Amino acid sequence: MLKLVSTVLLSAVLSSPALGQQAIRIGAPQPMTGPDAPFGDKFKKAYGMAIEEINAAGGVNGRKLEIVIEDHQAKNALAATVAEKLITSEKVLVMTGGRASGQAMEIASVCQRLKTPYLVDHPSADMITAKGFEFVFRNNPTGSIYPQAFLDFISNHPGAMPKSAAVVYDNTLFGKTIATAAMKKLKEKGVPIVANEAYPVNTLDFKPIMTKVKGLNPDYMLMVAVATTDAILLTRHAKEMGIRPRAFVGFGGGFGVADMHTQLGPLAQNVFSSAAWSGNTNDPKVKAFYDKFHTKYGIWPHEHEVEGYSAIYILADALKRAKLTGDLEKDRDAIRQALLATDMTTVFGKVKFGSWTGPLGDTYTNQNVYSPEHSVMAQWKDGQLLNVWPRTFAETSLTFPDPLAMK
Amino acid sequence: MRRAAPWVAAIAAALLVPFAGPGSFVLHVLILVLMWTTLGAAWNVLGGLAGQVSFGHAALVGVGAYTTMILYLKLGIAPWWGMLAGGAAAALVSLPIGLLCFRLRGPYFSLATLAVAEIVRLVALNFESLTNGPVGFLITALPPLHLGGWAVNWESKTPFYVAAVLLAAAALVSTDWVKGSRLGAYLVAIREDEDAAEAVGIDTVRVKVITLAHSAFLAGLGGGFYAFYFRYVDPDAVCNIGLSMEMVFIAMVGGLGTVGGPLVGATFLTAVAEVVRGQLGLGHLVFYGLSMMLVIRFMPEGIWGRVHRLLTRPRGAAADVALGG
Repeated sequence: MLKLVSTVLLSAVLSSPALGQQAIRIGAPQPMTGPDAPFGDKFKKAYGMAIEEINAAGGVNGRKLEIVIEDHQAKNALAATVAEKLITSEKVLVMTGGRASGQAMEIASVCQRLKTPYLVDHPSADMITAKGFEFVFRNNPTGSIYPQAFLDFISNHPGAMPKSAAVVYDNTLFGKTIATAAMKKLKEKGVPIVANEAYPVNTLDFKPIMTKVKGLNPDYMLMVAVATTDAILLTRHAKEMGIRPRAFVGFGGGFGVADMHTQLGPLAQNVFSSAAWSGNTNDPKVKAFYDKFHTKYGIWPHEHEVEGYSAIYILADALKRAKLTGDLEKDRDAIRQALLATDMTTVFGKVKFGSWTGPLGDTYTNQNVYSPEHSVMAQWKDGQLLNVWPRTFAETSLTFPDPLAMK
Repeated sequence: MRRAAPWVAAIAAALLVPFAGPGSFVLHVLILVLMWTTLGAAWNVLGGLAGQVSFGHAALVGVGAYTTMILYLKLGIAPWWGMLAGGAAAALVSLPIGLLCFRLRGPYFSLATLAVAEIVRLVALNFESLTNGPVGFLITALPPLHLGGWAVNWESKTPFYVAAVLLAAAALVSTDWVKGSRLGAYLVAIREDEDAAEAVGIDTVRVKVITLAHSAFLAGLGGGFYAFYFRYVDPDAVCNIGLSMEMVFIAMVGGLGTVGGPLVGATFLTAVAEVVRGQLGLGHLVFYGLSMMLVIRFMPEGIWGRVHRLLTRPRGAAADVALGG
């Protein structure tokens, strides 16, 4: 009898560390195949690096972290399916990822219904955190926050306030959100919008639009392009048609890629790019992360990698503080409570979730309150894209007005 | 309807599935299968029975989905009524499309449908005051529904499953009914030789327009269900060409012009594909493409068509008629 009891006790003692070893699972729907597959791969690398580091440092309260990536092929319905699968079959405690806003909407909807916290790491549609979903959190800025650095620049740089502005943007969710937010603020400052032109993605000829814009002689030329080819052709056609504003300002990923310089050469000179935030590059910790990532994978991280890597650290921090009992439902709510108390700094920047009103009047829930600071404006200088505004993040001094501008 | 009893039995059996206690994920996959069955059957009525190949059926799905969303979010009409209205709206929209496009034949008709789908997508993207543009519509909460004093729980999959069973049944039963009717005979005549059909006095444009409306109604219902179940609709989700193609694939893999084909095609391309995706990870797209090629090369009559032929062969050569079942 004694032997039996001791055996039971012994096995209990032996099995408890085994329980402690059980990994904490984080679910991440990402596009691993299909047109968006390159982005899924970026996030996979970023998550992988963060998880390796955290596990090497002892994990979360002794338990290892594990990321479960499911492929949604950039399809909304499939995003809902894999989110459901991760939560009900794979029993993940918390979710992140999504990549594009349409898929993130479905994931947010599923997570809210199944009461599982979801940390949005990249999708930028304002609506995701503007529907009152208390299980949905977002670290990255919303689309309407992107023009923040530009708006700060025109208000605070002496003489930069535009006398008029022409706005040309692609008719995607992202393009429209940025253009609407920028135009709303410009109008509030009394800047006349002389042109408001939407175009479909992958337009081959911008000359008709630019002919019209040239006649209006805008003081600022604002261009929004998600696609690289659009960004290049917008700039080329605007300059070739002889539009000479005091500043060309590009918004969206298209204006931030190396092709801008290789394809445009001198035409890219002094074009501003108000691109996505990818951490304060003047911060040595952020620099160290960039270098480490480059050494490990051979590529320099951009916003996607910084966001994915930071998301895992935010979740790990919340998981550390949450009391996990082994009961899925209770644990998920405990993690939600822990996320609400998040107050930390990652390579992306400061993070604290709160409810506040966005630039377009949306009421955000659990949106990073520091988001308005996560906006930067860079400028193309001799083939290099360097941060110029706000001054705290500047890598070089800015050139304004454009020397080519008409007097 | 030719045989009511088997239909009633099949629908009753399908409705009993939730009582067997499958996990919510299994039920979710079954709902997807039934939704794709409805959409595949919608395409099959026009493409399979009448031989009119449309590459733009996503437009009709989009009309159904947007109608459901707009009625609920702007006018407060519950999505289950919205689904029916979505079907009706899609049928209505299909009338002018049919009258215009059916003046064209063969590949010209197919290309015209492609153009119509693009027009609908652009309207959804740019008519912002009606469609919310690229932002799309999101349902955050479904309205309460009481059926005989029993409040429907929208957090459970069962009510959606029941709705999906009824939709798929409506699609398949109506296909069966058309096949057995005079209209069905007209359609076969048009499919095999349109000039001959006209020569014997069939008003081919009228018959085709009626069939397109039938097909559009089912596609609109399916689109409405998509909005109701997935709760988020934007132009990329319901108006893209990929959706049109999947409807074609489901009907073709299952069996063109057969009644059960869309169910088989949807099961194959949704449930089987989901299992393969889970097991093989990244190899599933190869599986998808390969199965499509193999079916088209070796079973042009589709899986259901082939099985039906094998089962009925001993009884006589008549079953060998192409596209039988």
